[in-house]
Amino acid sequence: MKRLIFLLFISCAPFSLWAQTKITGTVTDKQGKPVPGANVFIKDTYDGASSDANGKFSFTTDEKGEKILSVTFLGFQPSDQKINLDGKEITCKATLKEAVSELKTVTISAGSFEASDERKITILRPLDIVTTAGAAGDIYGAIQTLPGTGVVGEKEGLYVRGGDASETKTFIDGLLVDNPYFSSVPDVPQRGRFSPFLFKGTSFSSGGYSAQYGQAMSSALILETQDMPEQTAINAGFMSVGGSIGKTNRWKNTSFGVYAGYINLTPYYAIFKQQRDWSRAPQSGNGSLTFRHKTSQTGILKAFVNYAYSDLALAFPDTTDPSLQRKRNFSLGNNNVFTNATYKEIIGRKWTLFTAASFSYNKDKISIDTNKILSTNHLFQSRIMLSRPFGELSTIRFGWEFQKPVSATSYNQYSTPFDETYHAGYAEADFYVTEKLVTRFGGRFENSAALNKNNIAPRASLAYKTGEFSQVSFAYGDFFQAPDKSYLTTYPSSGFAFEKATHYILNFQHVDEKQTFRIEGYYKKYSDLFKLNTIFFANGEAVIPGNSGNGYAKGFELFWRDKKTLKYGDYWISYSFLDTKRNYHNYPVEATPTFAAKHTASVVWKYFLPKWNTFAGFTYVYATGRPYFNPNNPVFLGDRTPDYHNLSLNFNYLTSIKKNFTVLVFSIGNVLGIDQVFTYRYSHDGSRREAIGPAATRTFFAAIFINIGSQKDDSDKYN
Amino acid sequence: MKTLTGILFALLIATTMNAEDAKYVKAMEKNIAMMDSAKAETAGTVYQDAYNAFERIAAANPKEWLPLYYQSFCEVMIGLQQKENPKKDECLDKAEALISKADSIKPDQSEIYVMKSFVTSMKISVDPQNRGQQLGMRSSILLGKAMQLDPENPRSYFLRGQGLVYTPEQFGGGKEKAIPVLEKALEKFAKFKPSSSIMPHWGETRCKAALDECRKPE
Repeated sequence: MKRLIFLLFISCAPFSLWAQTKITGTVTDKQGKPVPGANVFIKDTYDGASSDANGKFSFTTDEKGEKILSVTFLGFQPSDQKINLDGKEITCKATLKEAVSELKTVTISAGSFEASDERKITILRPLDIVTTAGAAGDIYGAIQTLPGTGVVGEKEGLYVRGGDASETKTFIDGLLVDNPYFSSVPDVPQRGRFSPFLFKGTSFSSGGYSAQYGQAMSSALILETQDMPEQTAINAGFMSVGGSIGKTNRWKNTSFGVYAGYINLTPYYAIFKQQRDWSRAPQSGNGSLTFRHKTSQTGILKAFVNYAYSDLALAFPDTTDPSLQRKRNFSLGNNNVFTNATYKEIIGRKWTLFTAASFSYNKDKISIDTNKILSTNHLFQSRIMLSRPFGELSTIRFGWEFQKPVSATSYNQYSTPFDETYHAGYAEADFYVTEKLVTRFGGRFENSAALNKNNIAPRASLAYKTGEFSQVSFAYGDFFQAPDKSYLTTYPSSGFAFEKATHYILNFQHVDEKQTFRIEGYYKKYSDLFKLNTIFFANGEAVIPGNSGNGYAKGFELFWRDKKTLKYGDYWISYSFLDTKRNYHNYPVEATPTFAAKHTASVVWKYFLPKWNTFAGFTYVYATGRPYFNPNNPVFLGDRTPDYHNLSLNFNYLTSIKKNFTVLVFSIGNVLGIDQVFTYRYSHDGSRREAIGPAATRTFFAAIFINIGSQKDDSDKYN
Repeated sequence: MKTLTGILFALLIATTMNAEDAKYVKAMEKNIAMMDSAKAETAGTVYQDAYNAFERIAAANPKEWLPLYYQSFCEVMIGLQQKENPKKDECLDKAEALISKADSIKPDQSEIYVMKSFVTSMKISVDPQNRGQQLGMRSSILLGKAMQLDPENPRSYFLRGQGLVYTPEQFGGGKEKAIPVLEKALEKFAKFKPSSSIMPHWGETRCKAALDECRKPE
């Protein structure tokens, strides 16, 4: 009983029995500067204090014995130290190490431009794409305002640093998009198939990219689709040329979206005179389904299906007619399906698994006068990647990729099939030596059954942070690509090899929240390019195909973006200098290719008028003349087109219709009506030529987009 | 004897537990009072001190959501005093993580949804052009949920009204629209009785100030 009373006694009065201990000291950072406001306390107790303006702290505690003194402060790693509380005053020094933060950590920047929704300070945001004048809401249009890309008005595609359009590949969630543009039409460049609103992030690499991507000698455009939509909503759009409607349903862990769009250019072409001789103006429709499901706290399953068709017919000059008066009739019907499914989950404590599969199908039904061309492409592909962090910042990843394209092209009664099986494996590590210095080493192994060849492509990059906002970066890599399948099928069993490009890139950038300055120099060496060699005999000549082509591209680029100087204003300026020559395909000698301009510059300017709730903007693009083929000039590709100028304007008016967010868009391309010549086309005998310019001198576009949040403000119910 | 020991032992546990509880409540009350006393000129250090104190209480009471809730509130206030946007974002990210942790401890609390919405709307204020549309919607959904969980919580009406003040008229906002909502919030503040001394009770003064600002002729 006595013992019990004693027990009760001590449980009620422990604090008065023991003496208090006073703890004083200072908190500093690694450089010895005081850290004010830090939390200094004895772990698992309320006893503690904040450090003052000089980093000093002082408090008393009733705790006794060996305890842990913790120091925490936002932006620093917590620090713990053992102390012994025995009533005697304790003086401590705590040194805090800065926490790892994205802002302070160097990233590999050579060759890449990123547009992301996330916090990261990025050069472009998805909204920038939609609001760039001249881009007309096309991802590729906006990318063309970035340095390193050329202006090629007669054909779609990204022509990057002296590379042709086939050297740039588009990837959606890591999966190759076989036909990223609407099908080609003679002298009418096509838009990208996919709406910028589908993507949360866009990363454009003009060289030196990661070992995750292959079969692209110049450039990779990496698009990442949106995650779960915020809420159930309806989006409707009415354009001068068509309309679209979409609905997304959001449940707790699942979302499902339906979208349908239709475009018909007949009324537009009836009002605005076109330079092309359309017999059936383009019309197209597409429908898509998106599905998202959170399989767990960390897992997400995404699926996307898109179907599109298009139809058009026009007449273009027949170059076999010396007068160029005779026309040939071209018509195109296209069906395209793109599907992909991806699954991402964290396995165990460290590993992240990413798996993806895609099937795509494309059918072009083309007729030129009485000739019929039918081309069908199927592509099945899958990808698996495992990655894990190590150390504080470093990551290692490896994966496997499989592609199975099967296609057939028939010209009248002749048909050429093509069948390929492609495997690639890669491994790569981003190793942070310090927060300021990162190296990336990786390699990619590729095997093509069609070529019956393997290759190993090494990749390496390095980046060093030179200041709070600035860094230098270097990238090197080998990039392989199989020759175009039309060559492989035209010259079967000729034993081709992979074409190869080697990149060396040096980059300096200064990126803060409001301003970006970037300069990048590069050297790109092409070898083993596909080439047709003509061999002359005493009694004739023969064309021998092979991989004897080569070339180079070198140059530098400048980029400046400023959101600071003008309130509500934002502009960016790009300049590219390009020196390139190559000897490939049917070139008789080394020459600068038709798609390369020596100087290209663009200015994009955007201004928000708060009073009018309007974004106004212009884009001005300038490029020096490009080579064109003139049969009368003994120098191959010795002529240059006139310089190119284009000024586009756009206005986006933000408003609401019955509380639903609405944007009115109006844009004009080539406002000044400047004569633009992309290239010249000669009659076969060289006696006459025709200038190929844009399909219309000016372009006009008007649209209204409405976002109907169907799960309306709940507060209305309670107001 | 055995029963007596048992009773005494149970009593012992009960008293020490109550002592723990009382200590927790006392510490919370003290810090909430400190937080409430913050004036514009002292706000910087007061919110940091309060934040630190709540952090200590949270660490010692991992099952309580209120210390995390107040930590989150203080961190937003600290964030608002930062001059550089990345620093503001760093604070707001921390505040968001804290309130999410509170939510996982005690789900379906109207006050937690109010705080989530508060953090979200402060994130918008850092970069309204780029974040307005998406985060605005999220903030509004969170407030809707807060109202659904407790229609009598005045803070959700206050934040709704505040949000309307900063929403352009073209999108259904503006001071005119905000006045009735803020008036409604004040009515609810007048009727509101926090269920305990440490439950949230902030906002009335700010709400009055916002309403006065709206009524001021331009």
